[in-house]
Amino acid sequence: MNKFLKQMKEGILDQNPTLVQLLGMCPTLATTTSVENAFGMGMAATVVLIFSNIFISLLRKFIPKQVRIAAYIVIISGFVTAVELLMQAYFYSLYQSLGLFIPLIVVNCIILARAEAFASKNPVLPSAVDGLAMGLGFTFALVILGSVREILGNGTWLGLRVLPESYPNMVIFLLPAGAFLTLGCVIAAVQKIRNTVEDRARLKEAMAKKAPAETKAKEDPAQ
Amino acid sequence: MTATTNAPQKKPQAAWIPALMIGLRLLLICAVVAGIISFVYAVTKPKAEANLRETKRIAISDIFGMENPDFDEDNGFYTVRDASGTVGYCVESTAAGFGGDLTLMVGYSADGTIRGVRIVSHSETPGLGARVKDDPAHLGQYTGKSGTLKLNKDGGTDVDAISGATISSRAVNQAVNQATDVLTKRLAATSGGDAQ
Repeated sequence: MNKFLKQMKEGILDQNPTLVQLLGMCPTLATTTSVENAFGMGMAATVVLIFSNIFISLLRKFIPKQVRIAAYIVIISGFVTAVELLMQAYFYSLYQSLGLFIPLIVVNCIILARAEAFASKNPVLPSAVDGLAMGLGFTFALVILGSVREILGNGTWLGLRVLPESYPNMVIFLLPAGAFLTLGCVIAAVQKIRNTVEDRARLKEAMAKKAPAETKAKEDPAQ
Repeated sequence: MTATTNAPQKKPQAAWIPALMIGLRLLLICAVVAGIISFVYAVTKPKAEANLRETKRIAISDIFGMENPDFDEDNGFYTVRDASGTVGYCVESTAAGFGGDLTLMVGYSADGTIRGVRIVSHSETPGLGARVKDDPAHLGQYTGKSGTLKLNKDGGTDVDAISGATISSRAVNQAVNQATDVLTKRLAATSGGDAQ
């Protein structure tokens, strides 16, 4: 259970695929023009990540090391294509809203990166959890970007107006240039938060080290 | 002695057999994946086509504001009728967008002016090119127009492109113009000799 929480924290914060590992920039920049799109992309990628990690983990002993990347690409794109076909047939309304993201997911390098870095070396359950954690981290980053861009560029959040009608929309935030600006600022902010948290943890550690030494010193003369 | 003479014979064997095994395993993975995809494709194809037909039917009923439109299809050309007779035409048209084919339905009144445009399928980037579909004002610009149309960006006076989605806007415009061509040719052919 502890391990599970640790993996989740890694995926969402410490090793966030978008904001820390800087993977999957193409879908990140392209689909964060609105919160709805960002969330859709994030969820679709999460589902694919979980299952591709499961498949790769199951096959990790069968796949020869020398050709593993080729094997991952075939498995991932095959799986994603099958999902697209199934959605097109049986979940048509879902396909119409999320189907567009699917071709983008095939080329999303987060999926290949997790297959290579994690699923190929770990059993099925931790691999599935890793997929979930990384997927949620990706969704989290996308929704933040989407929120900033939609609010500043369109004055709305999830289609609801949050800024007054008189607000002049900063269209640049909806254009690719705005995506880069927002991404840079969000990465900087997240780094700042992470550094502060780390500094505090280090300070705490140092204090904790100091404190027992002091109590020991106090105890010593008593003995 | 025998061991040393045997060794060079074993060595080449030991080198190429594992390499072949690697290739065979990759081949097996590819074959299984290809088999699964073709199976899924064969199973889902009729259902996916039915879904697409339904989308087109909805597009027609939407454009003509009819609950249950009565229409004939002939190779992507739809003649739409109500109780009183032909009310208009619908043409299916495809152009290359940014992410792949973009297919739309253009509805025409009997006199050849556009009644409405609906996108049936596309693979444009969500948030950028896909706005040609998501932004209702964009397709609305075509309503009431006729003849060959040009984007304002390309020196025309008919339709504004969506900023950041020029290629997708051009694809829509091209598909609409192709549909108009088809309609013009069909109408000329059916009205036959007396029109010419």
